Amino acid sequence: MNDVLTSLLTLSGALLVLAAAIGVLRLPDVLCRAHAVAKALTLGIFLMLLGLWVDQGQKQAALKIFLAIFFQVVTIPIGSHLIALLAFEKNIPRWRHRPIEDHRRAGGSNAVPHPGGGTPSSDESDRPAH
Amino acid sequence: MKSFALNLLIAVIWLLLAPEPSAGAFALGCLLGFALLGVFRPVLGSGDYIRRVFALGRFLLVFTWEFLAANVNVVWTVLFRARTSLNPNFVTYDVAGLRPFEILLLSHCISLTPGSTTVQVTDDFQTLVLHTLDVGDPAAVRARLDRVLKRGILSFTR
Repeated sequence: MNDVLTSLLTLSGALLVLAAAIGVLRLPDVLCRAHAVAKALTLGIFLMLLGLWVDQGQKQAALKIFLAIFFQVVTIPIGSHLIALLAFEKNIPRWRHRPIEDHRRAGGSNAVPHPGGGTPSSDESDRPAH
Repeated sequence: MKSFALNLLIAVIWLLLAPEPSAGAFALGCLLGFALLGVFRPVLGSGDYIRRVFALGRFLLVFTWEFLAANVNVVWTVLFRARTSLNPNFVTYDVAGLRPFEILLLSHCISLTPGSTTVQVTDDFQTLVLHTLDVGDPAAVRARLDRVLKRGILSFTR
């Protein structure tokens, strides 16, 4: 029973990590790739470590694996957030470049100026927000 | 806070009474302490703590469901969707009035729920910039985050 559960958890975790890798290859730009990494990698590693915990049993693994899971789940989304932040600030070319959907633009002022040089690209400033 | 300390204290006492200390005994102690705090709610003034713990539990359930949905969503997007069908964009989200800790929690959860990652918190802590894979209607994205995450987080932090 434990063996089946272990292999099930480890395999699905490995498949999710594979999905994250394929996502990094297939998705069009940095920001979309950060999506795949943030979600699929987090759950993938979570499931693999959980499988390891089931395999090891509570005596040996005890809280160590939970600590590992905790740090993975906390840090992977932050890593993807930092990648996305860098792409945003450097104004890296993105798929279907369109103006930011700003909820305050209706009020008149665009309060979130796009960083990365004082002049935003032409389609950033000329086109109205949808 | 006082109730939480009391709960931990009861758990530690239970751990000391157990034949051999283990994680299971500690969890049982926590549960017993929680039950005691629940029963003696009017005397100890722990009603708010009980409410927060239940709110946290409910939020964790909702969040786990969202997290699983996000993974199904990502796998489907990665494997079966052509890149021309993607419609990603930045969306801003209003977080005015939230404390920094709540913004931290919210942005972390946003990164793990379907279709959105946190990109930036503006310097004045008023606005989150998100990146979403499919912006059909930005108002719908914001309404979903309001309904699913913001309300859930505020229900146990306040």
